[in-house]
Amino acid sequence: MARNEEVELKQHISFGAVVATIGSILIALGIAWLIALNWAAMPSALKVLILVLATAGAYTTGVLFRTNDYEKIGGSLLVLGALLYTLSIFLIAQTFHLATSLQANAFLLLLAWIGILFASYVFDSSSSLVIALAEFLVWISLQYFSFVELFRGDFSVGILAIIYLIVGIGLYGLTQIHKSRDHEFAGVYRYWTAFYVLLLTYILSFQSLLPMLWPKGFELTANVLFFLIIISIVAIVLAIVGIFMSVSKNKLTGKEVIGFIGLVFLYILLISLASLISGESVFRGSISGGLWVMWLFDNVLFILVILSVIGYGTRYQSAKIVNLAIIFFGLDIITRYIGFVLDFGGQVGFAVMSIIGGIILIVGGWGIEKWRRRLLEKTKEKSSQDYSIY
Amino acid sequence: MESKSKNKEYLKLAIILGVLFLILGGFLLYVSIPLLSTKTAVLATQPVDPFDLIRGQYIVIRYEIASIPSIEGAEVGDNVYVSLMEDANGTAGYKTASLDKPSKDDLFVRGQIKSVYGNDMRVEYGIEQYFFERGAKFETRGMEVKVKLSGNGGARIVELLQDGEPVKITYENKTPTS
Repeated sequence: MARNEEVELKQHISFGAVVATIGSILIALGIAWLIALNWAAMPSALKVLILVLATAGAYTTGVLFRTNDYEKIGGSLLVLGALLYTLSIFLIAQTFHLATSLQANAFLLLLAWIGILFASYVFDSSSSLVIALAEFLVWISLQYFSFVELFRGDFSVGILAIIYLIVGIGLYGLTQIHKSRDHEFAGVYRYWTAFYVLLLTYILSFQSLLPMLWPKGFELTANVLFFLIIISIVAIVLAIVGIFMSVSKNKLTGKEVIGFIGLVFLYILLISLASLISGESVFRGSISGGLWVMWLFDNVLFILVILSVIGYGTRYQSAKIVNLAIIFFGLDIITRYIGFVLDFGGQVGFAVMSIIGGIILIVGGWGIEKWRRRLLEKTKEKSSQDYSIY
Repeated sequence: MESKSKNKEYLKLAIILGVLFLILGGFLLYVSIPLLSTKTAVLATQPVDPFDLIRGQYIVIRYEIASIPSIEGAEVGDNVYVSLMEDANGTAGYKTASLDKPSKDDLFVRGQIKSVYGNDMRVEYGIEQYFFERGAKFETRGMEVKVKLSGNGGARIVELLQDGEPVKITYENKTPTS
């Protein structure tokens, strides 16, 4: 088969998979809405039974498609199975009128992502892993919020930032473990590592959030400390094991390891330094020099991190990572624009900022699109060469 | 795909369905343990109604035993065992509270301390919500809740009561597209 035909066929397969995945998500959304409606006419046991059978049906059909060489469509149905399994848990909770507290929802999500993660490994399904990691992100955030709610502790953005940093370290370790074994999940974990790093840097880029990283009089409750210690141990062990495995197989350079460790220490330093501007209010007009310096530094860092992630994505020929970085770049522009509009308030100020901002966004948007296309082309060029994906 | 690989895939499917059903089944068993008990109590309430995007529409039920006298040494997050005493109408009310589990013969419910203010503390029992279909209408004044209590004080709602009878819920007439 000619190379062009091969590429065309791959694109068709990929397009079919995207359509099937959207279909799966739509079905799950429809069922979720039916659950939310909570049909009184239908006995609870029947509702649970229908959902459990639908979960089994989705998984079975997914496997049948996979065994008949429709790998991607099968993968989409496994995604549907994962979503239906999650919905089954929430339906059971609804049926038994379980608590709606953050902790109760966090517990339900914990049951969901653990089951889906297990299914991802047994089926070697990257798309299921994506669902598990998305639910994990919601779970870990909710778990922290629930500790704050449950034990009436102070909410600290700094702790949330540390949690995302720890998860990023763990995911980097998992990336290396899978890369050393040439496992396809390496790409998924790499993408999510980049996501957590970008998310963390985005949080640090807000002038109003920096003084809230460590609220005045903040005290760490024992349960949050215990939670942090446990996830830190898991993440550090994963990172050490992953780095050793990858380095021993010559799949990771010392330069990248030093860069990774340097970045982790930089984030720890930045999050810790925010305690110096603890409790400052950015809404009262006067902003201290320290806050200004920190905010400017964090925003320059955010741009540098975005560029580094683009470089990282280009190096590993991952168009998805490049796109992710560009999405965060767009988010950065929009966020800062809204921030400037708020800072230079008033009707005339708003009008002038809107016009200037609009022009910048149109030109910027054109530039980003051009930049994105060029990067994607470069990435594709590299992919078409016979390099290893990792 | 070769038949050997196909068999392997089917085996994987069986393992996954087994594990997922085990989790779901275990969860079902865990939440239904109190319902298997023979201990029942009727609790007085003061309800309000919100909507949960994930779980649907429900009423938040505030029980009269939600606010009880504080116990020495009790802290937010601690489990507390509230012993109940039935009045002449069969409605269970606060008798005593302890951080230690009472004897199995006692009628008690387990809760978690949410806040302590002076001599009082607010306790939640995990039964503060009752889900129903959207568009449901029923009288919430003077409502009572019939609950089942497990051996360790875990509670599950059985039904809502009004004047000792199950609450009559009516639903708005809906078209298939409403």
